[in-house]
Amino acid sequence: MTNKNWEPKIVCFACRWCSYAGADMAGTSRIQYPANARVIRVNCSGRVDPQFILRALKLKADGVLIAGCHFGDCHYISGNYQTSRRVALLKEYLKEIGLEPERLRLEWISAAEGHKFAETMKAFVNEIKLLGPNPLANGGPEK
Amino acid sequence: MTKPSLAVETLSICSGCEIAILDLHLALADVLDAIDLKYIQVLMDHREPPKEGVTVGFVSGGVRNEEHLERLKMLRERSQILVAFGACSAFGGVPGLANLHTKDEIMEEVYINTKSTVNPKKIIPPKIVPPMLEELHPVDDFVKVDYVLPGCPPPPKLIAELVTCLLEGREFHLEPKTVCDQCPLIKEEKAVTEFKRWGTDIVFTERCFLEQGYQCLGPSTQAGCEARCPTALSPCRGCFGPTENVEDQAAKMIGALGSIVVQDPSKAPAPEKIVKEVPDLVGTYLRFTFAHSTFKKAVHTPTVKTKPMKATT
Repeated sequence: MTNKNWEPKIVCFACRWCSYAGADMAGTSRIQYPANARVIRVNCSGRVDPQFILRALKLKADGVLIAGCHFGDCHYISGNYQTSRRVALLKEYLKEIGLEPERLRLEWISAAEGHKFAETMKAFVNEIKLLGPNPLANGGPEK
Repeated sequence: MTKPSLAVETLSICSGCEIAILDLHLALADVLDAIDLKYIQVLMDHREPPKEGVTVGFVSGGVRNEEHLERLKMLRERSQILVAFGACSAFGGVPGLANLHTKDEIMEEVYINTKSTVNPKKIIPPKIVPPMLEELHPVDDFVKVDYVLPGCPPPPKLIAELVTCLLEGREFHLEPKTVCDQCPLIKEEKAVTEFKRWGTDIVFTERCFLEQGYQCLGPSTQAGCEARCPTALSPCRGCFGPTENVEDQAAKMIGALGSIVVQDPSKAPAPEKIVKEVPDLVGTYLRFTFAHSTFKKAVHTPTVKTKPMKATT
């Protein structure tokens, strides 16, 4: 079923105040990490509408990573707390409709943690590789 | 000039929407004066819409089997304006929740597993009845729909408004608002510390249900019903479907739920606790719109899929 050359496609929503800068830090520090992610800069992890995540998965993304500031560091005070609740509920939603909740991941990465960004990416890509491609990509419900 | 004619087709539905037409009460006399009711199975004895065609066709109910599909296409051919009438035809409605299971699972559950069923030979109905489609579809999956009048059932006031608009040749629109905009309950501060299930306590206070911690779908639901459920002290269940340009009602509700919890992190419940307090998430947030949500049906990976049942006669 799985093509040998298959590489997971990951959509990453990164907060501009921390994780996006963390990704920059990983780049300027020349840390190697897999190039599977398409990083999208958002102003806050709380800006990520649950609909963005569902649509990414519907459009056959193999995983969605949301990266925001650590608790207490949010530029908008409470955005990351709201995200943590939304992601927990969305995981439940995905589970109920038969998608693996592991395809959605939430991580807190600060601007100084380029290393953590790279490690997260490596771990997530490995996890998705074990899960295999998005089931919707294999003749699932596509309209 | 002949009177405009109306045909009402009934697909996979409880016929409540047709009864809602009768709920126009006195206004019904005016409506029947102005239009010619050609076909409505609940009231009249006809097999199909008239061959010469009708001005307006109302279709209520989703498409569950091949007969429904055929009748839907027939109505589309024979009517100039097609209205998706009620939540079932617009979004799949409550029967749309069956899309969480495969067709075979549903057949097995209904004809073999239910406790009230005695079926020792495990007979599944043979093919003389119209075959079921793999899943339930809202009507806009198959045909072009000109107007959507959601609701379970649509409020008589909106039915009268739609009919008036069509008679006068005006466009019919629902206001781009949510149920909360029309809700008369008192809204103070949204700082929920605990979510409760509806029915676990008696509620007499005229205060926003979300503020009290009950799951009310007001923030994610299209307005038009004038908040008839919250007015009667019952939380909104979302029968008007998502607002304009929103694909998934549950996504909007999850978004809202993230931000109505108390802001102080030391008082806020843990995300895992909130998940436990929302049992049956899909059935609560997509009660009427699962067949019209982002995914439309459950993702059945081959490992989860049950063995196809053999139809024995």
